[in-house]
Amino acid sequence: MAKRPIVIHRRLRDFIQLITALISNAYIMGFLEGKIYQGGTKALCVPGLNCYACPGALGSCPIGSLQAVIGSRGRNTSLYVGGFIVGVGATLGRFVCGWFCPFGWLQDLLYKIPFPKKLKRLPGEKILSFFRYLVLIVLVILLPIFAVDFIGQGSPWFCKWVCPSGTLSGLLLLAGNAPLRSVAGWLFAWKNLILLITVVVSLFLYRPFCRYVCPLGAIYGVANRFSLYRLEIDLEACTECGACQRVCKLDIPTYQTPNSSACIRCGDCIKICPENAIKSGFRTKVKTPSPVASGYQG
Amino acid sequence: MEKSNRLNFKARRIVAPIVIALAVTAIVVGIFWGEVQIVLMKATNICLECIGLG
Repeated sequence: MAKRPIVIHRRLRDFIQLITALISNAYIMGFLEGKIYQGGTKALCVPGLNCYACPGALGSCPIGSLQAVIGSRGRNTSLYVGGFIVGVGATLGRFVCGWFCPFGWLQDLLYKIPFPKKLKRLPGEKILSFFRYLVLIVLVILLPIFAVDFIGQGSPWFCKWVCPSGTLSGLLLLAGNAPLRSVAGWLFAWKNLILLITVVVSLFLYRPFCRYVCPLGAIYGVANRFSLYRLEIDLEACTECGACQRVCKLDIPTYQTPNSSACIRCGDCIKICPENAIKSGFRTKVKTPSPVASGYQG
Repeated sequence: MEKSNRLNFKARRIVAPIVIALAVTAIVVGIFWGEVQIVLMKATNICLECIGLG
């Protein structure tokens, strides 16, 4: 019996996420020796959330790099990193989250683990989803710029206090580095608590970090509204049956808001649509509803 | 509504290329302003804040 298109599609996405994670973290010696890669490719940012403190990382995390530059003495902006993030966002939007983000993939894997009850959303989902914008504005931009030490150097607040991707990198690094292990203190414990919460919630809720916390996802989410790659609804074909929303692990009514800022563009809705009414790509041109008309603000 | 959708479609078709062009320009200017060195320096030393040690 032929496999359903959505099954093949999901396996393809799994494969691409695996390959992306492997390529982004291909420095094997780092894992074995408890050190990080120090070559020139680290001047380049990767599109997803992948900490540059990970022993295998060959590139730089865009959010960490952004804070590093804007927090540097005498600088309040980063055209290089900011331009990279905005450029990637304007091209692909959150397609990056769905296909190229190693930390997003980790949450995908955790969600596949059987759990008694899986939730589609948490109570107060809309309000919670605004938290990622707060994280972006306060922890990634304002505090690194304005909360500086006596020489004018800012700190990467998001990385330091929140980022579970960095904590995971730290665990991998500390596993092979005894001197670093000896200096782990209460901050390390705090960050491990955040990582633990992320892992546990990921078992019953799809991608909680991406939904509520990720500042990179916040930027790419805004870019979803106007990016070159986009989803469009063929209004003449769509029967509003709701199959797209039922298959969506983020509970997005794609037929109403095909380019919602919450959508990670995994493409499940495209494959499940019985009328083939959801198109995606860089040059789609079909009739589509406006988000205002639908009333959905996701 | 169809008319406004067409306008949205056209507006989006214009916005994304403009934003991408501005982003590429920003990247080039950022490179000349020496931001790459800052990123490289930060990324090639263990980020103690990132791993929860500093």
